[in-house]
Amino acid sequence: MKASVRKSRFSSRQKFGLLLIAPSFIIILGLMLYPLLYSLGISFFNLHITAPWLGTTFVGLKNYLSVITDPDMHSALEHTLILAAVGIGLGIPISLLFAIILNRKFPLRGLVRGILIIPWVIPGSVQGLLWSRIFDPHYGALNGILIQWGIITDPVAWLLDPTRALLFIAFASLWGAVPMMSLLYLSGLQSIPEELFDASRVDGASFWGYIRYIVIPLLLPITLINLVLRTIDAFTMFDLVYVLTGGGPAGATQVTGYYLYQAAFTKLNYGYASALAWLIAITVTLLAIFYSRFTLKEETAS
Amino acid sequence: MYKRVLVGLVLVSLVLASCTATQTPTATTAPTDAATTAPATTEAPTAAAKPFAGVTLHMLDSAEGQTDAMIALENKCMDETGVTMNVEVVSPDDVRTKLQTALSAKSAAYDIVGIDIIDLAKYGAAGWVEPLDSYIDEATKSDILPFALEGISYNGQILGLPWKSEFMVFVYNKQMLSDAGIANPPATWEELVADSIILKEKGIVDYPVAMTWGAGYEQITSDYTMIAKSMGAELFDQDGKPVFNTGAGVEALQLMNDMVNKDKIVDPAALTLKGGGARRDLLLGGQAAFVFLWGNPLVYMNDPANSNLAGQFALAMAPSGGAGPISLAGPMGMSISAFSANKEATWAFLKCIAGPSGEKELFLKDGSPFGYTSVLNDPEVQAKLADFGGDVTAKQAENLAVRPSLPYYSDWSSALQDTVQKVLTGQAEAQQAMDDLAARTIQMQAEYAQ
Repeated sequence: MKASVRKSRFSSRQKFGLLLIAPSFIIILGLMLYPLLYSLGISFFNLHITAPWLGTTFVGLKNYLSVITDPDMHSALEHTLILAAVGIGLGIPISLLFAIILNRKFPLRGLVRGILIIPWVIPGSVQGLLWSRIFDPHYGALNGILIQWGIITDPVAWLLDPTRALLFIAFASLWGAVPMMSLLYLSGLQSIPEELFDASRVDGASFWGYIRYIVIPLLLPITLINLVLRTIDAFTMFDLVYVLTGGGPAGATQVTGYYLYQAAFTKLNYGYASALAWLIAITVTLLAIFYSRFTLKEETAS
Repeated sequence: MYKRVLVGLVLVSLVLASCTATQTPTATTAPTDAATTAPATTEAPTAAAKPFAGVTLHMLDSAEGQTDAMIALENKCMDETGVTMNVEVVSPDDVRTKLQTALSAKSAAYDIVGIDIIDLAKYGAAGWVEPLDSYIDEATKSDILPFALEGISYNGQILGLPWKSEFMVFVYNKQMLSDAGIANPPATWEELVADSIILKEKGIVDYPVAMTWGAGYEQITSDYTMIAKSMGAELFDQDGKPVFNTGAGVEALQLMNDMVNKDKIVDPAALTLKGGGARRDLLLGGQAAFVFLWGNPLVYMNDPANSNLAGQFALAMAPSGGAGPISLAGPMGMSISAFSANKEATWAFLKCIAGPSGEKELFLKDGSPFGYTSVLNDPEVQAKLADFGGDVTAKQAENLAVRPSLPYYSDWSSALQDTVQKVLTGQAEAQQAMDDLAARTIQMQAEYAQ
């Protein structure tokens, strides 16, 4: 009798390939997908571990409703949107300007490009500590310089005024983000053929015309990436707020990322924090889709 | 080819697995986890002389808690009891979170549990720690200083032994006061304001009172409670109803506001600052004349290695607001986890480190605060206390208040801090802000109701 031989669907080479990717696949599943699904699960439960007497009960969408109706969360969302708006409104033109300058030939261009990237490679928490030294009301560098120059006579508590504190956070965040945004624009600029610039000059276009009608439309995909990254940064901002203001004064710099940290790791209210995290993720995704559609429309129109 | 690689991988795995097996922790090795482990482990005591020889206990602490004196005491207690104590050392911010996460999972990961008074009610209500009433004898119980007893008592039960029962002391710069022609340190809040105005007017210092009331900083709650209690306020009535929005409760907040915005004796920058070190350094740098600090700060402040002004600092009783010179205590407790598998051994170890002899040893070696009358009256302790402004410290120990013990304390304290910041930044009036806080407190009580 002839033994039946089942032919495997995979060749030995493919099997070996699967074996090699198995560890990273398991790690990705275990460290990303499982926690993601687990957090989705607990977002429907009242899981407040410091109040165990309340029990862990299924509460449906209550945590989501609590987040949506929470006035503190509204305030945090408002501040986050301001940060995103400042990050986008100032960050995109500034980084595009830097990229255009760095794309032109000038002495020591390579060195300047290297220096530009320094703020981006400094970790956020270290950036926060640097800014806290600069803004310190008693020993800060900013007060020192302004007093030396005679612009102010007494030290100023820069992070005391609610509006100013939020703007200073936005500025500090922008300082760390502009290098990466500029590099992205620079890579986009380098992919635009020189011939287009030459052709536009032959056609009598000014430099501004070249930027307006050639560079900006061709860089729309990069702009989309920068829009999405700045929005995500604003919604997940934690380190600068943690180090500089702790969300104060009086909640003036409370943002969604720091609010999430407090819900999860200070109050240990994991059910509420999970719902909040999912709502942040959904909001950012919706904004990314909106940006994508908008830039696609602009691209088509141009 | 692939088979050879596979065989190679399997062999490497086997070698690694065998290495791991030889490194399995034993009772005398450090626990693993991401954390590091202190302290020095002495040789295992002989079983005959040691009642709990062979028992391994675990506790969680930060590196700040594991001082040389503490490690020496742990080693001594291991020697006396026979237990092996493994201390898992994590960052200070992680101690509370990690401990509460383990306890909420009913885990026996830690046998000894440290409790700050602000978490006492939560631990008590959750049943996370073992009531010690059946362990502790009457003599030890009556030896505990009243404020320290408050830091370990919940619903009529004793949940721990006193541990580093510190309180805030009032420090002033006697040279600055002398230069301003002020003979004595202020005894009341009115005098503090008046003296501060004199110091300002004479150009000695711009903002005489050093405070750190940065957002989310627990010191806001501590200072508010201290001022309110010194003015005779009760924060909650007998039934647990919030009453801090009446009388002295509101006046205390108004005083804080006046000190910043009306009398300008506290730097508005205080609302952006955190940390006892930050406000202490303002005195060390000659930028303030008065400060409230925890523990025994004169040891550091009057050390010439730390300040050019060393020797100018002295202690005074906290200013009174009509109800006495009340300062704030932050007593802690050391307890037995309700989920410990070795409660008797844990109690033996606990008595050794957190009993009167252990607390005395720690005080003499590194100035750690203590919670027993017998330690306070000890001649050696009295002699050492004299170096720290001891008579004032001893008197202050009899005039202390504590923060309220609430199952929802974290939420309440956070809301109070926000309220104080709103008033001090001019976004709300004291009375309205306290009324709003009272309403939120009632909501919290409903949310956390058992």
